[in-house]
Amino acid sequence: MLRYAMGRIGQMVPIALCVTVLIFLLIKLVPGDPASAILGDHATEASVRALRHQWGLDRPIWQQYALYMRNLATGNLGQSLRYQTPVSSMLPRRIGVTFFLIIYSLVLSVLIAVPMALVAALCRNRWPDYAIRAFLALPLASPPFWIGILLLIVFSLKLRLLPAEGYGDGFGDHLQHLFLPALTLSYAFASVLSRNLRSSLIDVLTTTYVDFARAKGLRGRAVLFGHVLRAAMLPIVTLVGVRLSYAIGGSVVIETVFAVPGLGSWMVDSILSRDYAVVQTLTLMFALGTMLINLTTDLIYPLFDPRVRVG
Amino acid sequence: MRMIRVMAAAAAVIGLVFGVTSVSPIGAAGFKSVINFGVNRAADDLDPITQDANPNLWAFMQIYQQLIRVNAAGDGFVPDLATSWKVSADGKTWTFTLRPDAVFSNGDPVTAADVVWTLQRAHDFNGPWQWALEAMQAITAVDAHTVAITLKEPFAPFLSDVSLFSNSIGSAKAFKSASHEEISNHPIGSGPYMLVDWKKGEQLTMRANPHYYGRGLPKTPELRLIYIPDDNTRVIALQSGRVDGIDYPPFSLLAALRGDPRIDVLLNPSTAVQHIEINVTQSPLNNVKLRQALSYATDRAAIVKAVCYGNCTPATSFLPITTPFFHKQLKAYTYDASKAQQLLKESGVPTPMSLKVMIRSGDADQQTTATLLKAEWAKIGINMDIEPIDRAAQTQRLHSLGYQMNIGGWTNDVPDPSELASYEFDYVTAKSYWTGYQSNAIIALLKQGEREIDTAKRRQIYYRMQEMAIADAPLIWLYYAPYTDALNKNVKGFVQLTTGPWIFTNVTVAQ
Amino acid sequence: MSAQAQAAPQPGGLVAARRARLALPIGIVVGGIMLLVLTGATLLAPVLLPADPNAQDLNAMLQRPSLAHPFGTDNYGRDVLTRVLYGAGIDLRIGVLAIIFPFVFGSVTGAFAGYAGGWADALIMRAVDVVTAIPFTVLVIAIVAFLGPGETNVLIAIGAVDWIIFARLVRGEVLREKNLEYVAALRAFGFSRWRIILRHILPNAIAPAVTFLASDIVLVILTAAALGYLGLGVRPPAPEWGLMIAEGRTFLYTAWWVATVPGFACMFAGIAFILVGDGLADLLRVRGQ
Repeated sequence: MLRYAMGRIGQMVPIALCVTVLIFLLIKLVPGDPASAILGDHATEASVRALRHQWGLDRPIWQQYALYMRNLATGNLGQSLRYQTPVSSMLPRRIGVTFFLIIYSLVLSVLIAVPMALVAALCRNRWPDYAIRAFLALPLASPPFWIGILLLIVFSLKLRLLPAEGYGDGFGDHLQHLFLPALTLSYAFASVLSRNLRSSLIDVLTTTYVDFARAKGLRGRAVLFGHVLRAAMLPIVTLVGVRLSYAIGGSVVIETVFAVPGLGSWMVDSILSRDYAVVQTLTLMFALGTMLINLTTDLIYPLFDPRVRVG
Repeated sequence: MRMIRVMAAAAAVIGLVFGVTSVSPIGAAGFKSVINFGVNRAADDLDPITQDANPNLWAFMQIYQQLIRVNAAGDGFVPDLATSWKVSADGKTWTFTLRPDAVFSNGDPVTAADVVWTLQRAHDFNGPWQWALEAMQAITAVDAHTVAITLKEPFAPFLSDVSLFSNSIGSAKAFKSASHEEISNHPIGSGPYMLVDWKKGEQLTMRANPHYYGRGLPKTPELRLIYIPDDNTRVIALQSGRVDGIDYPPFSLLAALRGDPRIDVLLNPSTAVQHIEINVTQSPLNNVKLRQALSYATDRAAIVKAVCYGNCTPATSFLPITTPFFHKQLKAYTYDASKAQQLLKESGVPTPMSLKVMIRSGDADQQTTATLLKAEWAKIGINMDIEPIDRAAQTQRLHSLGYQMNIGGWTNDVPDPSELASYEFDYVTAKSYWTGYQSNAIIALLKQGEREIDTAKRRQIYYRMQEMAIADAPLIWLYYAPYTDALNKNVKGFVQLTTGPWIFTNVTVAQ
Repeated sequence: MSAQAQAAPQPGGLVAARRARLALPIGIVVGGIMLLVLTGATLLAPVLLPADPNAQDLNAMLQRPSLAHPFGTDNYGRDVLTRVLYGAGIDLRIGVLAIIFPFVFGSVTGAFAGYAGGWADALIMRAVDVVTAIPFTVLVIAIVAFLGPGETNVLIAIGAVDWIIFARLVRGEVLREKNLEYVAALRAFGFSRWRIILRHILPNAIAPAVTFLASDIVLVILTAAALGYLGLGVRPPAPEWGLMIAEGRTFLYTAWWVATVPGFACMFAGIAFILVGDGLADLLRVRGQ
């Protein structure tokens, strides 16, 4: 197990490199450049050229990549061309915001999904099951920004209960400002989570586990929580792993609607303004983070199902 | 037992979430001490000479001062750092007398040396505003509070150009060896506000400059510019009281906002003009009759109705209404479908044909304009392909003349027609606003207009220029839009110049 | 198969025997009907509503629902009902086309990776890792920014990124399945690796993928909508639902019908797909055992 983990960690390095090359090429090949974007409508050809030269954007592409990697090796995450600030100075706050938002929405999703899935699985094919599945399907099929704006209108405008945007200062403030965006984000995930959990619960409820456990003499709730949930967690674990990076992508539009200053909106802004260093650094971070999550997911498998061997 | 603990925890969390929202700090005698203003684009660079995005300019205009400023009406100048100015008899040397009590936010007094250093920097830097000081040949400090600027030749728009925000005066001592990054992130100006905190892409916080010479100004000690890109969210933030004012409320919501008794809607006269740039170097758009046909086939009144909900004015000239020498009697394009058909036939271009029009992705007004035009032009046999494209790619296509038509807009930054005229018709500056249009006659008029000091004669030059431009139609001018702002009724003293910048110095927000 | 293999305890036991009634779950019936309605609307729209979905009438801007316009008009005076029905065709097309490649390619690749193990598994999963590393929406945005907006490019971008979810889901199931007794039995009988994967393991392992299929179609439609929101998706003035919502969001509380109706259409289509997907998953689960 440990050897497998070390092996996987070792594999992360070449993959991270592949990711940086991939995104570097992709973003450089996209037409348009930061100088024209920043200089805007009043730009002249001469000023665009001068700025590109100042930023080293007229050097051959492999040289730019080498420079970026060399900076990275010394811990220099690059400079945001748009904001004229080191990426590392903007990063901590942005990470904190998105992290808060994602954890908040995961917590809300679980709080919504688990009880619903349990009820649906236990009452499967009877009316509570259909009612729950219909209720959960609704937000799944709706555009997140649509739900977000509806929530905004109800809670922020009509009821004046919650702020409409931003992040706030202090933990309590964060909880308030991010409640609506987290709720919007959590809907879709709660839906998927609940459906898969219900599906797995049904699978397991109809297998020999339950009969075996009952035969062992365990009763009622112990059977349910002890064995059924654990065995049903396998696809859930996969899904969480996949959805975590998904959640960041899903947060992109939500962050724009609610003006949440997190990584997702920063990433999109940077792609659209061709802020190369930011795009590369953020992608690299996502890559490493996602790989760690995947590794953790794979290592956790056997804990839930001893029949699974990894490696 | 466990249930009780769980419920207690849940109650605590819910209490936190729905708890009392933060109360605004109370300032002097029943007024708030903070102005919260929601903006639709984030400031990203506060160095006056390097870029041209409005959010940046309008932000650092609270921090910096210039020698002179455009007045609120947009037709003259008021003293800013200079209390008086005069020009020599030959029109080539301007002398400015500085006020003795202006002080930077770091405590250093503003002296002629600062003016000399700043303007020399602005003159030398190869950026979007270099043209503003191009006429300057030399600048010297006559004494500690007098500056003399010598021009290459008499230059009519000089006062306008020197009032431009790119000519903001900074501290030579602080910035002399500072990098551009330093200057952008730590601006040191002599204006009513100074920067105290900047969360990039989120919020910009300014506080009163303790050394500002204006007694009791700024009236509100703190100003926050909060970035809220989504139109709906920004309007909701205003209506829910989270911000005291916002910029660019969408036209479609103005009627609803006017109906809200707590909100004031402002339509401020602007120097804005929306237009379609046409690449005249490629067939079939190099055919002038085709361009004229398109201009006649454009129903500007319909655009005003569907895009601005009646809050704009159809465009006649390439100059905005508020610019000096705007030709009121210009015989401009009207909506005339039959005339369009006739011109189309005369042009010899076969129909039906397709034309591609670029619009900036995410820009609702441009998208609405394009959709309307598509239906209008279909009536004369032109099929329009709408091409949404993001800003950076759009700029590249424009600069390389790799497009057919592009919807864009302009805001004049000085109360003088020369800025727009040269950008739009002087090929060397910007390929005639990226159309590739070259008219030696107009270029000659441009040069004349800059040198002619006599106002009446200048007027005739620019009238002639407008007539010629309309005839050749290298662009299709659509409408003039006012600046829109929406403020809470308890906000008083808000001013927006016709060139765009907000002035928060006299703003108070009642409790 | 020998009697011994047949007598081996099937997963499911007594409960499975009870469930072997194989009646169609009601979900799939309702979902199927909804899908039929949707497809019918798409095909019949040009016949039922010959009006041009792009016909503008600036004297009838933002009108409330009425007899003449059952769902009101938008800010160009265009009839919302007509646009929604025509939009069904666009969104259904995008939704279905976009997931074919990811579903097929992803499931087969994932099954192969799970079954084969070793370096093949490592290689495939590391490739999945590279693509997963970049958030889905962000990568799609980057690819569309690269290719340019438009329906085809949206399909390509989604196809290039979406397959990994299916790969991971199916691989997870196969990892579990391959250690079950019947697989060992099949191997003992000398069936080829690919036959075992495709004909025996995949049908059992496909259930989560099929369950996810429905969500995925909806995800694709919503991604297309998000791209439309950012101005990078289907080009205006096409009556694509996401684009309609994006265009109508400004009027959400003055003329709510403009953005709400396409939102509900999205929901309708989404629920239809989800119900059908769930029903299929139930069917597969029963039959596989």
